[in-house]
Amino acid sequence: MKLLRFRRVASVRTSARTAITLLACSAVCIARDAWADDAPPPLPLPAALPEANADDASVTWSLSGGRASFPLLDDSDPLIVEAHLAVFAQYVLSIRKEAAETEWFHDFELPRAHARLDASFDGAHARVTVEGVRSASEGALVGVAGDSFVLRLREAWADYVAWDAVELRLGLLPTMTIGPIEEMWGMRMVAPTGLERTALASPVDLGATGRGFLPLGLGWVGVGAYNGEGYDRRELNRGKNIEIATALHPLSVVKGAEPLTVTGSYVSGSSGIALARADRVSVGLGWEGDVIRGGATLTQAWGVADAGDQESLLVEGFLRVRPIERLDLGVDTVAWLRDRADPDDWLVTITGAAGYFIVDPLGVFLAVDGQLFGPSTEQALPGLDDVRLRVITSLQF
Amino acid sequence: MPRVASLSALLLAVSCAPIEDVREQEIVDVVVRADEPLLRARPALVASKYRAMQGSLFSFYRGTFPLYLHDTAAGHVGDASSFDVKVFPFTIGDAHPENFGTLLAADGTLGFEPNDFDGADRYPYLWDVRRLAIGLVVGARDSNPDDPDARKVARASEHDYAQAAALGYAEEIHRLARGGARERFTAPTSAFLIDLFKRANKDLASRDELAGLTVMTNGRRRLLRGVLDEADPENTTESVSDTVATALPGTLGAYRQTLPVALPKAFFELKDAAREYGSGVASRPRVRILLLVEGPTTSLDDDVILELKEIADSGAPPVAEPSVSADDVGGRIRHALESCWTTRSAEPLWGTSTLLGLPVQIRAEREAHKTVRVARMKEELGTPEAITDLATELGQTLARIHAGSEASLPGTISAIDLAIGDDRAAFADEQTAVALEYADVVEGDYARFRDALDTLGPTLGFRNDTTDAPDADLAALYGTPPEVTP
Repeated sequence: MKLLRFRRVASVRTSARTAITLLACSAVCIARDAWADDAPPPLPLPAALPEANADDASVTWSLSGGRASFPLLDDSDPLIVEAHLAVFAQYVLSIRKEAAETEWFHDFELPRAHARLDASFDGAHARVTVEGVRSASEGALVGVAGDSFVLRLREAWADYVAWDAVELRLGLLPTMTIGPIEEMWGMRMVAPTGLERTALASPVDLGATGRGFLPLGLGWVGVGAYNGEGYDRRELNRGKNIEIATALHPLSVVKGAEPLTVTGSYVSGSSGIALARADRVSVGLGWEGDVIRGGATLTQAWGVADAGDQESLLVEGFLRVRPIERLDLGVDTVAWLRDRADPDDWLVTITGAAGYFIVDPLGVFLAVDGQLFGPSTEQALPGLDDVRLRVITSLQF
Repeated sequence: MPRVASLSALLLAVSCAPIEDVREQEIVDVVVRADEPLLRARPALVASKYRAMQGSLFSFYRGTFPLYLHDTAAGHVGDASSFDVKVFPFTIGDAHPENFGTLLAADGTLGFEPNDFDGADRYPYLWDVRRLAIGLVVGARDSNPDDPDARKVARASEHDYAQAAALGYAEEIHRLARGGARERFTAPTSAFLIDLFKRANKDLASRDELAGLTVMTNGRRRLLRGVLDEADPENTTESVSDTVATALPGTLGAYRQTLPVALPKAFFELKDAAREYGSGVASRPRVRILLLVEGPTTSLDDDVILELKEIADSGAPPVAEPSVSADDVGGRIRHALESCWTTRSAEPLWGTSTLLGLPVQIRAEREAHKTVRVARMKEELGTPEAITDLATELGQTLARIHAGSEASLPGTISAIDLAIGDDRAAFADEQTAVALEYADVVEGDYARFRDALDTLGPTLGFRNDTTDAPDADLAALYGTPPEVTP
């Protein structure tokens, strides 16, 4: 388990607060990072609380901070059950040029509403996450009771960690490419990664993953097999997406350089009933410090949206700075060459955001998105906004 | 790692693509994705749609509006346009030539209007223009079915058809932008539409639909059962289930409230109902029921036949906020009737309702309602001149459809006119080049689609899950199409 705690240990090392403050902040960061992760989340760790309970024979159960601990058997680790909530809500003012006029629209949106239950017992862990989504896809009219928000499964998996070094997971689970990138930026409440926004990768899929954790906090290497249709579609073909991924901290043993992170993944995939090619190679380099987080990723795609012969290139750069406690400033730029055969088919999205955590779980962010399009993209996707102004609240327990 | 490699190899081995051609894969994936809910619940009906699409190049084009939208969104329908695309009228979307025809208005006259709103929604105006221009080129390539030489001649002038449609559109938009009236189209000048109106007027007087679709038995008029057209063995009718028959009066009651003219309840007294199969192409898997109702009097001679058809989402990508254009599917259709026709009374019996939870539209089934048919592009109606003139009038009609958005989206006409600019010939030239290029794509796609059906089977290899099977009542509502011997 120690090997998996690298990020948190690193966070502790880089902070100059008192030990108590560090512990409190770490706990908040752990929760926040866990939600920032759509992919390989940290294991649900049986930390200090259950151990304390186990030492106190008079305590048969406890409930604190959404964590319930139930000693099941004498002389055994207790069952830990944790409940978490995450809500991102936003007000959006969209501005775009249509014909010769400037059009605008504004509405309230709910980009994320997650409720999560984690359970762990010894080396076994399980998670169920439900999320609220519109019951009809955008543009459609047929939904449940109009277009109501409905709950659906976002994650439902079980895993087992052996020898604190090998993890095997099965179910509706995070894929392994998007999560480490989100973690590098640390501002998921402002925007998903470029990979997710462009639908070049799904953050969750039905499948199985296996990860091996390297010693000395060097990170992990994993392999996964998935249906390949994401978590909102059923499998249509016999092909399974194979993902090989890693997130490394190559300088984990060098004091002060621990946050350096290298990510990489290869996906051999297919989509649709005819198994159209959908292969991806993604690499990233970043820094996961407490004060500064940032990095850059590059993804090459072979096969896009069922067009097996279309190649696409995505470059994303991001930075988050925390100049003072609770204040986050961030910028993210996604450049997407949608079709490498057409140099006019490109889209650049630049997002700037500033946010303040009023209390630990609650942050309020202001964000501005600007979009630039190539001529082909502007006509193929004429519904894109030029500018969006957003007020975002992020609440995560 | 060797084990991982072995596992990967194993998984890849079982995932060999059944077809190698990447465009063929793309076609299959897009078509199946668009039809997936239908394939799960009523695969036999979808198979009948794919058979219809296999039947001719133009039928394939009719059935692949989702593929057109997919290619457009991928930037693969022509190069970037020189003309601003960001004007989004509420329009019919799938603007191919066979979605236009004559309709009998409340005043008893025939007009030429769009007659299919399955895809109606907000789209960039340019997508509609191109869909129409491409459709005319594809139609010409399918014209003169029994005369290869005439087809060759028609095909040699296909450039003119796309040009005429786009130019007719641009000129009409310009006329409307300068304050020209958005008149109902009742006096065609092209040979094709003159013939269409002539045949429609003839059948209007004789009310041929009663003779063609009903029989008199023991002094009662009933809808025919069985094959309706010997030339098309898939176009058949059968009795509806008891569940459906019980629900239909309620459906008609709600439908009556959506009509633009007040008609007495007795007008819609249900006399018979029959499930129809094998009609249309894209919407062929949808529930379609013929209804025989009382009509103006209790006389058997003025009975009225209605067609009930299940409707669904348009499939339009969101292009402008708000991203949906109506509260529900019926509302979308009713808005289309208001916006796309030059008058809401263009077909006063066209309304909406629900049947056992399914959104449906109901319209009059009349022989006087003649649709433009590519199959009619033959002999004197299949000449380059006839098709060119038809293209011009279709382009003008499309412009009037777009102009109908002026009421709900003020400024639409002038915005389109401004986007096209003064050089309307250049606009037409660009759309012509796109139409010719994409028509070649359609022709190639048609061959690929047929190959995919041969390779993958009647539902393109879609694997059914028994848990998706509808319950008995729903299965009875969907029905089972007649088996057809290939």
